[in-house]
Amino acid sequence: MKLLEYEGKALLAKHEISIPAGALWPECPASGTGWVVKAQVLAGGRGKKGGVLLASDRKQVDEMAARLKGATIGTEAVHAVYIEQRLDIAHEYYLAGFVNRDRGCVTLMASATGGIDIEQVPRSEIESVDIDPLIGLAAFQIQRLRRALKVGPQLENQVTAVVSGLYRSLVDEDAELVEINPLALTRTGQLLAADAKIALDDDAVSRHPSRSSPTAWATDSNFMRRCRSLDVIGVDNRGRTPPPAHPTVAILGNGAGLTMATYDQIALSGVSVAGAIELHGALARGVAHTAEVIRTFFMLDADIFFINAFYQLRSTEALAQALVQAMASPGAPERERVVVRMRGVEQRSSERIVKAAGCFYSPSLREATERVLALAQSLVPKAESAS
Amino acid sequence: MSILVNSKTRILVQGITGTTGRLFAERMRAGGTPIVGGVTPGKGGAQVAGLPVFDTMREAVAATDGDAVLCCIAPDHIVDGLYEVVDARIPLAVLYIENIPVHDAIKMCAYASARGTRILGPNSAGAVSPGQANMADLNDANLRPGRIGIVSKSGTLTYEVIDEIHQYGYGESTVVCLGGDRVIGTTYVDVLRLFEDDPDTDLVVVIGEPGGGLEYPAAEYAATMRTPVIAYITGQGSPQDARMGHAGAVVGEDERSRPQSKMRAFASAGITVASRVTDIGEVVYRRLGGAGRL
Repeated sequence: MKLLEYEGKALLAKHEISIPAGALWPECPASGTGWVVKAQVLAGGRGKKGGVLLASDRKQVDEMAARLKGATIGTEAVHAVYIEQRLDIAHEYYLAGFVNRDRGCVTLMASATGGIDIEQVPRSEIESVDIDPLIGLAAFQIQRLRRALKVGPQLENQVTAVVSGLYRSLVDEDAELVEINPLALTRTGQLLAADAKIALDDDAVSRHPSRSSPTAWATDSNFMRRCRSLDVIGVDNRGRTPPPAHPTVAILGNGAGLTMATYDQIALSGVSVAGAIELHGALARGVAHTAEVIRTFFMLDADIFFINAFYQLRSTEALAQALVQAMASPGAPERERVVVRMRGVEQRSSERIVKAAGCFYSPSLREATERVLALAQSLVPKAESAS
Repeated sequence: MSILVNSKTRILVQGITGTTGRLFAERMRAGGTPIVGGVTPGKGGAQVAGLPVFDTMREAVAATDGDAVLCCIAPDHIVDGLYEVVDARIPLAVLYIENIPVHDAIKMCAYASARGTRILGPNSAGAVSPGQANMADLNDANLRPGRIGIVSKSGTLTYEVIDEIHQYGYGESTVVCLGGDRVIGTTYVDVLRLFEDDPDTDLVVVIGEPGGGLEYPAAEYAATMRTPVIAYITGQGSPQDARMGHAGAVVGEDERSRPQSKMRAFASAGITVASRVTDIGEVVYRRLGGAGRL
């Protein structure tokens, strides 16, 4: 899960990294140097899209904040507006740490060139240090990063504090990414995190019970919230730009690989996918729970609902029974619009159950895909199919 | 022959008295897989599927000579559980569990690799050499001994690929699932090296997905292999930033994480790439010219 800037900064402050004085509008921090009015969105590059404004008095702060509050930056609605004291910046650095998937460790990165997209900084100007998880951050590694930042010895203590804080915020907070860009040096010689981009590990939520859920989740669809509460993985494309074109298909699969492959079978054929659910072990929690997942699946409001399940350990029968329960609930689609492919344990009895419920059934992915695509073809608006 | 697991492997199940562990143990026993026992602290002396249960890994290894462990314990206990497996000097551990925090995975993988234990996973469906040993959630009924090697992050996707190659008359030497998490203990290249040295594998199917970049060194290594390799990368239609189940399978903003970039890497290394999962059988058949079928 990604955090908004102000949530990320609060996390950094917890690990003794200095941040500018700030508050969520309509509150406003005291400042003798003017303010920065910042739209809180997850997407990068908001400055270029008018999401960061400078105000010289309180009246301007309120005007700008009110304007940003209802605005959209790129395709993302602004979640909140954060007001910060304006800094008198002498230099902007880059400092980040992330879970390096290919190397299986945390990697810290530093560059004397900050404040711009790190992809635009030449590789030779970025120092990159892999941290051995069995040893942790070593003093010499902090020195390597400090040298890359090209700061003098008078900043040594501050750099040590910010690099150590960065590493701790990654590991102790179960973060996948902590990026401080820019790390600002003020004219008075203070190092501050002027921005913060943080992504936390979804799988470590239970280790941080006191954490409130990220603000960005508040704008999630009901579908996504239902998925989260049912412990399944949801994808909702209906809010994307451009939105999926009719006819649309919704996909329910078991296992990430199979769900993605099913998604490809439809999307690569040029048919829009409204959204998807990956069952993620839902079956282990019983038929009633799984039926609730399928009811949630129907919330995707698609023209065709494609269920593709291949179970080799658990029985497909529980899924078939869950489907029958969900089909009998209000809001269920017409059965002609539900296409089911089930393979694996107790496939034959599942076939009987699905067919008795009036849904199309095939044990073959190829055949089921063809059925979905044919249905979609039959639903294409007449004018379009003629062209 | 085969890789990683065979008829001589001596398999233990960690958490054998739990629901998942018991299910695996019973199925392995019924299918003729060489399982020798299991471990659950406090349940030593009990039996599951007619097999002895031990309190500790060391006891289990001393009594059974176990040399591979299927770890079926909860995410809260897995770090300590894995350390115990490594301490007992067991060379292979399959971490079946999903939703393990990534920083735990980093620690486990580093510790295991420093001490000589190979980890498959976390979030791995396991490894199986059909007809010899099944240390995976794949069902024996859907497997057939043969000469095609499969290496994939995903488990369910291998089910589909296996179905595909069966339709063209092939079977599997070994199926290896690396796991869908962000940091995993064994890479595609590690497994390709083993397949390259296996005289009973005629061709390897590499199944990749969005996220990370482990497919790139795999493409590079595959180009140097004598054993032919074909590739399929799933998630080509996945929307950016959406997690599709695997914590690791997210199409990010960076070009490298995209399936299309990975497909290009394989293609430019001279590796045939199947564009959809339902094309794989035919691609294998064409590559082998019909040889090696059962």
